[in-house]
Amino acid sequence: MRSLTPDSLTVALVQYFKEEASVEVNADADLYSLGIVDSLNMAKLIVFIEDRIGRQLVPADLDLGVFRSIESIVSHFTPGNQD
Amino acid sequence: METELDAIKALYEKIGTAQLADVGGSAVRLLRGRVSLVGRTPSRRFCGRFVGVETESDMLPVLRGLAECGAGDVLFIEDRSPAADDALVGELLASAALAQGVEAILVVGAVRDLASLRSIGLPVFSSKVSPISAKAASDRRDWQLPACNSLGPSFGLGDWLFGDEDGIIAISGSNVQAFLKAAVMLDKTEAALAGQLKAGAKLHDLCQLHEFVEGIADLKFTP
Repeated sequence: MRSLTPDSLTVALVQYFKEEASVEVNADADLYSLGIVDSLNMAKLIVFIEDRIGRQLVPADLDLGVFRSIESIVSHFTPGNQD
Repeated sequence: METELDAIKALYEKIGTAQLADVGGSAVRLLRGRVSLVGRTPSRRFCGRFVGVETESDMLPVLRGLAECGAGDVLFIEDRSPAADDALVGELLASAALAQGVEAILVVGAVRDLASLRSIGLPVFSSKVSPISAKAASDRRDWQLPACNSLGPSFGLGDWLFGDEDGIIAISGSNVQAFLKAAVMLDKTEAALAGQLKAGAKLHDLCQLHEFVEGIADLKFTP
């Protein structure tokens, strides 16, 4: 599995949204307000995160707060690994 | 250790076919074509892997198909005889299927023993009902139906089927867990919006209806 750090996941997510939504997203931006996380693209984002973190998401991961921003995604999926 | 079936059933417990349809887009196929499958039992909620049987009002392929079913399978039977008036599923077959761990039986054709089927606890859907049972009328060896094309978009082997009061849908097995997880997220989003509406918010404000009509924003349904 590739090395996962908060920085690497942040960079990967910024790049992901740039490619998928053609939007430059700040790490603290509200993804729901921006309208770039919705019902039709959530599955693709989940697959992307699972690929990056190297495990399947479990029900405890499926929380609106977790997916609100790049920062909150990174914080949730790289616990104890913060700068 | 949790199996794929356990994981899928646990996720599906939290949602319904409506949420799956919303997140799946074109990957979700609705089973609705020239005939409609009607729920014949109180319980219409199920999920499982497609196992297809093709028959011409002959019980033998149905029995052979059921013999191959295991836990987590949905037995899908298509009667291709012109009339398709003889019942291919009744109390005994449904009881046997339940004991084998089958999740549901779907029949493009007829079922019978409705009074008994209602109490067995296995979701059963069919396009027809008939008191006359089909017979084991042939010695044909082939029974498998790899794909069904008579209920709208094609679905078949490798697909998962999901059903509830809203209908029945098929999703390719390679994507199914991601769609289920996205549907759980959507369900939480809708619950949050419902909470805001209960607190007095207006739907047209939450979804930016006026801004959308003015052409300055997209419609959104997120909290």
